[in-house]
Amino acid sequence: MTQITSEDALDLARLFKESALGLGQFQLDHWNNLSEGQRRDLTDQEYTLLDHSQNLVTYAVGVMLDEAQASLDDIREATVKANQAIQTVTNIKKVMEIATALITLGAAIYSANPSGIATAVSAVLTATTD
Amino acid sequence: MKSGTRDRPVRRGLRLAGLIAGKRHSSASAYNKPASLVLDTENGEANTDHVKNGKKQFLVSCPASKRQFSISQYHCCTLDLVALAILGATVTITGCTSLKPLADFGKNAAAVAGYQEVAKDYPHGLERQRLYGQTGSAVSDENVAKRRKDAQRLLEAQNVLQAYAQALGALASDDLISYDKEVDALSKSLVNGKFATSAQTESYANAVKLGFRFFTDLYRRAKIKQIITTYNPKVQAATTQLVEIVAGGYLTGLSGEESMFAQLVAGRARKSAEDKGLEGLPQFLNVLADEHEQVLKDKEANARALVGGIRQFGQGHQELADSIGKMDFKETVEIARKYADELRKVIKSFNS
Repeated sequence: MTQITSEDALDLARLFKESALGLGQFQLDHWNNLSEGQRRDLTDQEYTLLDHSQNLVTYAVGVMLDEAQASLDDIREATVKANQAIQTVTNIKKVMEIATALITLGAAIYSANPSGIATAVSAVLTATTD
Repeated sequence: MKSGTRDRPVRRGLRLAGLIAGKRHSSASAYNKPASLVLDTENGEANTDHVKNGKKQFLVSCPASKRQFSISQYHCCTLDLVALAILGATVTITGCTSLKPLADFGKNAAAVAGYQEVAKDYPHGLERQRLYGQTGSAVSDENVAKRRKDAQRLLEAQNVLQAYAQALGALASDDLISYDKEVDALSKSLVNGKFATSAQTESYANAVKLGFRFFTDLYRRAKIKQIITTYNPKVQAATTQLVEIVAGGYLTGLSGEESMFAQLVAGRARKSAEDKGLEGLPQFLNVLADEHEQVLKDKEANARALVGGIRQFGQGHQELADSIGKMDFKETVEIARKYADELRKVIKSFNS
């Protein structure tokens, strides 16, 4: 078991902010090809990822991680891969899927749910690689 | 000269004071030889003890500054030439290190620590995010209340550092009338910010206050060393707390806010305006967005300057504390000069 430090939390917050920025840029880049509903969904997801980014700073410090299930490095790796995918993918459904997985991961981290974190890390990697 | 009295030549004209134990002999014929000569420019405390014990003081000017020597009229005749020669040699070697860099270090650090715009803005960041459309838990009433508490902690840490730096600056710049008052203000700030208990601050204050002493440069140097070493742990605790809150909380929040505004507010507004084909509106939005983004950038720059300045203060103070008792006092003063210059740059970098 390892504990998330304030530096770790800041690092995770930065990664989740990057996810939100990627999503926002996707929306602006594909604005004319998106329906109003899709734009609204992307907007909501971006707000939520930014919300998670701030909550990670506030609530993730001290959270215990079960490395047997998912380590901090696993979380970082999955998030970085997701952020890279958001920048290259052009399919709106794919982007939404990655964003949904990231949102679940963020919430699992700051609500201190080790098994939820492991499941969410897998979901992010699956969404990124499919 | 009675202890506690202020002697202008001692305070102003001369930056070196030697203390000599001059014991008048009853014989009227000969110059009296001093019982001992005490000239320890690195350890004013020993000298002040001699003053306390009723020993006499004479003063000499600084050869490096080319000021005229002036020996106290009182017991000049008790000095013999050998003592003067020793004194002169010692003064040349160790004497007259200006305390101005230490005064500048204190004053500049106080100016940096006294910058309150970040603390004032800290809770407002979440309120602005609500205006941008954020409704998540990060901007809940609970978190706004938490930010207000953090802002209070931030102000308390700043008050401690400011009060301390002002006291140090006053002591080093010979502003001794306000020094003891500033030590009292520092004690209050330490207790308010929960950095120390009342009993602890009373003990610290007793150690560093001037009391009814003889105000020589040597005595001030001893007090400077004492105040730096006594308060260094608290200065480090306060700087750490301040940096954590500003770098970890405020700047992270501000960065998220900038992204949120740029994409979710300004970016979407521009796209919507373009979609509708409303003439002039996209340009108007550009102007408004740029202005607001500049406001946020200025806030970020100020917060980074504050963090940088407080880090410099903490690091400089640690180096000063580490140098005491291990290095010549001149080297301690040089450390203060280096960090005073760095802090001056920080002050200039504040946008408002």
